[in-house]
Amino acid sequence: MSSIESAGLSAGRVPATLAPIEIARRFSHRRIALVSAALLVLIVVLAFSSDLWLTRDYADQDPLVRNQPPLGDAGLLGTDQLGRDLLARLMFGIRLSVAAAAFGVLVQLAVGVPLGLLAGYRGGWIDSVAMRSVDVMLAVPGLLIALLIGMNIKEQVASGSGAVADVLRSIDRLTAGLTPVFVVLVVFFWVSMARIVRGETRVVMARDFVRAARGLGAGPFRIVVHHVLRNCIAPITVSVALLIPVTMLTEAAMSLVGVGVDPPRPSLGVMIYEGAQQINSFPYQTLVPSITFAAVVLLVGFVGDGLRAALDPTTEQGR
Amino acid sequence: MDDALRIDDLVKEYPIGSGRRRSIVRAVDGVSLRVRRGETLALVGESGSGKTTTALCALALERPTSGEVWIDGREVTGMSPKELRSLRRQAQYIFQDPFASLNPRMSVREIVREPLDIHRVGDSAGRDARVAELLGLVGLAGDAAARSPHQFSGGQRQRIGIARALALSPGLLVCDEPVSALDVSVQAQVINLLMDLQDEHDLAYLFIAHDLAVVRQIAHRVAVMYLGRIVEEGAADEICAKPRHPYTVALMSAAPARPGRGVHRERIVLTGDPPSPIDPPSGCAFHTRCWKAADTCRTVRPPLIELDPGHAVACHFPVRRDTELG
Amino acid sequence: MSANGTIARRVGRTGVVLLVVYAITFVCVRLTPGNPFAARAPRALSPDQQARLERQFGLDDPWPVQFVRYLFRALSGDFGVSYAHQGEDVVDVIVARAWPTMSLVGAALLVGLVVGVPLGVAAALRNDSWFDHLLSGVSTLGVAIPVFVATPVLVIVLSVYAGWLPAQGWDGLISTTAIIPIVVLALEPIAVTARFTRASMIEVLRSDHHRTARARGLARRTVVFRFALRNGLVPVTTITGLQVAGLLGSVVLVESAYNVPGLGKEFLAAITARDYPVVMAATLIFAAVIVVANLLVDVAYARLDPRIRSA
Ligand code: SF4
Repeated sequence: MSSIESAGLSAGRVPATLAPIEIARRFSHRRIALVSAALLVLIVVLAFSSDLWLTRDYADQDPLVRNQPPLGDAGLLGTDQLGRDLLARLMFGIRLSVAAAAFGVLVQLAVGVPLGLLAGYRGGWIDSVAMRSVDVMLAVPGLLIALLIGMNIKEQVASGSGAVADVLRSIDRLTAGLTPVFVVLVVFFWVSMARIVRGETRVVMARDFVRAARGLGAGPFRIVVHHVLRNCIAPITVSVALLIPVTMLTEAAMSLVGVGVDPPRPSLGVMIYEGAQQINSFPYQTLVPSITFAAVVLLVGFVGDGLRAALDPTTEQGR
Repeated sequence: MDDALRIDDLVKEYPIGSGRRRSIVRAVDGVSLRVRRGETLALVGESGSGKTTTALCALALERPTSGEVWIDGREVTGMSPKELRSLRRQAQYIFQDPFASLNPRMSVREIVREPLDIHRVGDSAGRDARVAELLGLVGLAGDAAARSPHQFSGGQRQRIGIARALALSPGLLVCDEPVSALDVSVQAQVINLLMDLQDEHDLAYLFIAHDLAVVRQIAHRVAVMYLGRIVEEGAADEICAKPRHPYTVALMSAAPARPGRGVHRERIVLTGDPPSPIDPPSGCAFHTRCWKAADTCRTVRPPLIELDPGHAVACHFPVRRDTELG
Repeated sequence: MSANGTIARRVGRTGVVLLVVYAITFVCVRLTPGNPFAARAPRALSPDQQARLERQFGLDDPWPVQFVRYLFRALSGDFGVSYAHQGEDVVDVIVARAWPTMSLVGAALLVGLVVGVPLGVAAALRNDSWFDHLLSGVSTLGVAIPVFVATPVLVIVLSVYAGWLPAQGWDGLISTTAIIPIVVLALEPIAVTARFTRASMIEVLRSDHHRTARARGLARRTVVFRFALRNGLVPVTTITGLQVAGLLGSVVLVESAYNVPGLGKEFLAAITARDYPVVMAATLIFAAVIVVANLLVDVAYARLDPRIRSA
């Protein structure tokens, strides 16, 4: 091809999107994001393998070593007022956070994405109904409703009768008491993803390459999967990263209020709350889980920012 | 032998607005065309004249309001989705914007292979071989397959689009201004490629254009559209040398004449924009801009009449080349 | 669509949202098994007493009847009697606790704007400077750290170690007790407002309009403050409505963490005590505040944005 040609049209244009390899390269250039991702992996691995390397269980009480400070004889992070090992509790709390985050991601991908694709692809009344529900969901006092739903589920599991309560009870056995949290995640966490994917679908559907695919004889499935979905990967990824902290927060807040995981299982939220009862005498008890929670959320945030910058072709390479 | 494409009295209307202000636009208003095998018919007109809509309806990418479309002797209108799929093997579309018409998330191989995958042509290895063959055919290097479209220039991307359109060996290509988004220096290369491909594969082209220089080079016949109707149709040489409809005359005079061909002509400049298709003028739609317009033109719509063999014009007062403006 | 038509439609939507919230609340509460009286009674209730109490509170009617009856009573300001506060009227329970909550939310919203807007403008004017980058880092922090983490951390630093501020409690908005809750609540509004202001200002500063004004020879100060700020801040109003929704969630947690006797703390207590009338009333009031705030924002936006007004 002539040099004039390659200098011609391509020079002035910015590519609308980036190739996967390019994204990976750009992401790896963002040192903060990369380090954050590595630390997150480390934390998750440590939390889920804690039974292997810890001597004490999160529920083991030991009246002899109550309220021991960190870095003392009673374990790396000390003990709480019942003499339970804070490190073991912290690791279990992280597991719950990860479980909530993973389930939240699942809801977004398994409910939000298909719904957004359907609404965007089909349009019509499906679209109207889905988008009206999204509007309502976004204008609702989320945390309060979440706690209400949590309260309801807790009572159903505890003393409900009938088929629904039975189902909830068996789910509760599987989820180690996190059922209310999971139900709330299902109720709320498809919303923003559906909205984003729906908007993106409409944009992609209007582009020529979708028409081209039609002209080639492509059916709806191929168009949605190969053309629309592939062009939605960037906003989906970013949205997942942005909502992970919110899912963790939901679990922590619900557990802290008593409609999440049951004691003695420790959620980070529960640990912060219980520690705060002794904030004047033993501030480390609330400080340790607080800092852990904030750190994990921040790391996720950094990874999300890195992904967003790496996926956005208009930003220059960052630090 | 059947025509590669025949369009009979095609009408396409779009609803616009909503509620009380809802109304209907006739983008295409009774267009009839035929493209013979191995022939290029250029469809010429300003933007908004309905030429792209006609092309989209021709390949069932839009549903016509009324009228019939025949491809290779098979009626397209009212085909089941399954029949339409098989139609796609006979007729393909090349888009104007080479940046928008290739999925940026696919590799060139995936893009060119897609028609083969959709129609399950051969096995995987066979398809890859065919992709390599097609890329060679359109003049792209073998390593192009593994790259992604944004690594290519506009002209190269248009070649990729052509390779994709050729994958199923169609007999008809509808080219929607395939070079108008490209640099002038590149346009000729792509046009030459299209002409070579036509010779080698006996392709028929419905070639949409507004650039008459390109039309002169590639077209066998020309149809001129104005506000959803065909106003003049005939052999390319004749239309270019002796246009009869005032609108065509104006278009031709605006286009730079080929050096060494024809005589010096007075330039006729069209003033104003084409009228809105929402509220088209009565009678001859061109009367608002026509220098020959008379009272009749404002009330009576001129029919498309064959003045010379193979040369039809829709005008009450066709231009006579020898006496006027010569 | 006229501005008035748009606003009328928004008002309609507000009603729908409130109805949905009411329905969710009603379903959650009515479908919760267990008996609110049994939990509170000193001795086991006889079936007789049980039935009498249920009749007294109208709990023996079919639920559609209850659904409509409660709705109409609520609309006329009658939310029934609290189970937990010994027969106190729910409205009284709520009014007594509304002030701390609303003043905290209002103050946090104000702080968010007063601090966030200048930060955003400064970052936009020094786009890509160290200040800009620092701000974006800090605002990531502000958004990321949940209030139930920020509260104990601030308490430890400012109360337990420094001893400057009380570790909990409430003496009214104009007192040292209000500082920590307001700061904690304002973190996210500050971060979000600053980010949004920055993005919006950068867009305005890049616009042709703005360049023309500069080219006419107006001083940069004049241009920024007269023109850019006014245009750049219009979109900021839209996120303020969303802030209210977020703040009303956060304030529940802050109140309980800092022991502020407000609506949020009462809501949590009511959840724990299964005090259904209070739960329902509090949820509805929070929902009403959110939708009204969004409505006000819509109206303000329609007033401020010339494109919508003239359309
Ligand atoms: S019919 Fe009349 S107005 Fe129309 S082109 Fe011919 S002369 Fe002009």
